[in-house]
Amino acid sequence: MNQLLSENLHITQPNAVVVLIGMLEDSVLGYLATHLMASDVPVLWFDQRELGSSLMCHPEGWRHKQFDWFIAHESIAAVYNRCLDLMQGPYEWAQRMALYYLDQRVTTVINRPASGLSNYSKLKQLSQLSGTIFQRPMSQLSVGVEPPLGDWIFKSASAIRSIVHLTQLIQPNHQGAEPVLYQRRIEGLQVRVHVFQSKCYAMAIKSSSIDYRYDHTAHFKDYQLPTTVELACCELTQRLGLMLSGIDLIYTSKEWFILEVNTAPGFDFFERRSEDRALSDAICHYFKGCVVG
Amino acid sequence: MILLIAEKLSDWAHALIQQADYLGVEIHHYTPVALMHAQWVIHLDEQGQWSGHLMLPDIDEPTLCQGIINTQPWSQCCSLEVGSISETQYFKQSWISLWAVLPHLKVRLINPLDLHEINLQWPYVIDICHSQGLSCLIEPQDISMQASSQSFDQKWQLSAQAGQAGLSHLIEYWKESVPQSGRWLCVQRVLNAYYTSEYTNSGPISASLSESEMQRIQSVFSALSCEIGMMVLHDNQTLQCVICVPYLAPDDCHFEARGVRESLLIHVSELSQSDLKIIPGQGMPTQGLTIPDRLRPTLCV
Repeated sequence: MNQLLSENLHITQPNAVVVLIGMLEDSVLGYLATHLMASDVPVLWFDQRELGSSLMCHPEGWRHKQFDWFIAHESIAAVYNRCLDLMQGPYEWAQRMALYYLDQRVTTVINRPASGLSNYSKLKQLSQLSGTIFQRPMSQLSVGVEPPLGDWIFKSASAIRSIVHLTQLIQPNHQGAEPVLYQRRIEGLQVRVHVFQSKCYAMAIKSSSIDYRYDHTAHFKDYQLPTTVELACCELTQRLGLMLSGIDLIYTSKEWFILEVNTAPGFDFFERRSEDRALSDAICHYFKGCVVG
Repeated sequence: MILLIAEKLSDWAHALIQQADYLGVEIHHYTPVALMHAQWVIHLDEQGQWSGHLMLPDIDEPTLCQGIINTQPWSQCCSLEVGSISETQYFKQSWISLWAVLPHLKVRLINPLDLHEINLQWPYVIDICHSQGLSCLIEPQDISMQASSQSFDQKWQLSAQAGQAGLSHLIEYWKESVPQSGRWLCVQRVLNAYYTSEYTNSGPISASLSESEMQRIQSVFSALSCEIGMMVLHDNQTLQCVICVPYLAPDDCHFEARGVRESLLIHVSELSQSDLKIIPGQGMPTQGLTIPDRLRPTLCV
């Protein structure tokens, strides 16, 4: 890929290349890029941090000053988008422009920036998940008050990643200056579901920690969801306008609780712990079908 | 009561407060930082029912907050120096996440929050504009239109110079696709009341619009959830351009300022007080503004 970037490219033929956009060190992009290249899918990597300086998005296409290459919008068959946050600074406008084109001009984007917004306010997203088989945990978004009494967890209120903790760990008189989301703790089997093209890829997680992502002893196992749960996950993904979603569920042996829908899921974390590469294979296969020739 | 959030009181904000006093509407001015001393609690139960309360620093009981008039871009409000850039980003995002759910408590935000602040808002508007056959520019920064003796081009150039470097790029891009002809209208919607003025090279005049023209404008505003905008109306009565200017103060648009302010206050105060459920407060915070410690989830960006 770097070899490609160093050449003087001028791509104008339709649907010629798949673009990965985000940070260079993004593990999801790295994981996906490896699979795409192994599948002989022509792929380019746009570094989000170069937008506005070296990399420019114009009405006619994308241009890289340093490497002297140009890619017409129509030449981009599909995009995998990992621009999770706009980087503040003088080039913020260039990022906005790029994301606009991802929303408006590119035929296939996983996921479009506009569709990813629902997770910017976790409580707002929860309110949008009504009318399904899933239960929602009692939730409280607050700032400047003592945490709720009882068995509650707290986490970031927005899409910014945080480690989930029990509220009992909060020392008395510690109050924040920013909103925090509290949720009634639900005990049960934690299940992560990725949905892509109406197919679910589920994994059950057993962990003694509140946040299994940071538990090195957590046990991951591929999991077969009941059909009703699969259908509900697919419906929610469609409802939120997503091509790919990562849904956090908890099964209490009586009910299924939904915690949130990740609009830019870090699926590589789970697939590295799976017995197969079904999801990345499916994405690669899909991207390969988007590219002409 | 109504919260007015502003870093400092401008002339129009003073006038707004006077108008509120005249109308008997309780209005409190807070700076963004002072508002961060407030307690917010917003609750969503398992049945999807919302409740909440707000306790302000100088009011020692839960407050009925019917509306918030925000003249500050939240990106500025929340860019307190709290450490690293990622922490600042977290701080900002967490507040945005709170504002985003206030409408569920029937707290009226006089501020196109969803359009303006959640990071990628303007593609949404562009999308709606395109679906209606319109070209569009969203002005991302507060701009000044005070130089009424200037031509439109000059005004926009001034705006571009005053704004981000990217703004001039956007304007140039926009000019390529929007003819510089037709009648330029500035429209402000305060809920269902519309205020229009027409810009000429000699300055703003009251706009005289037919019923069909007004209906067309209203349909666009409704689709955009737009509160202040500029439009170009052509001879064939089609709108060619919509510019959302979310943080333009009423006086800056040379509207009938008193009318705008009055409508704004009346509409906000019309919300039923029973719309907002109140749960018992838990006492005022005893310490000042503190940077979150253990309470804040550990950042691992």
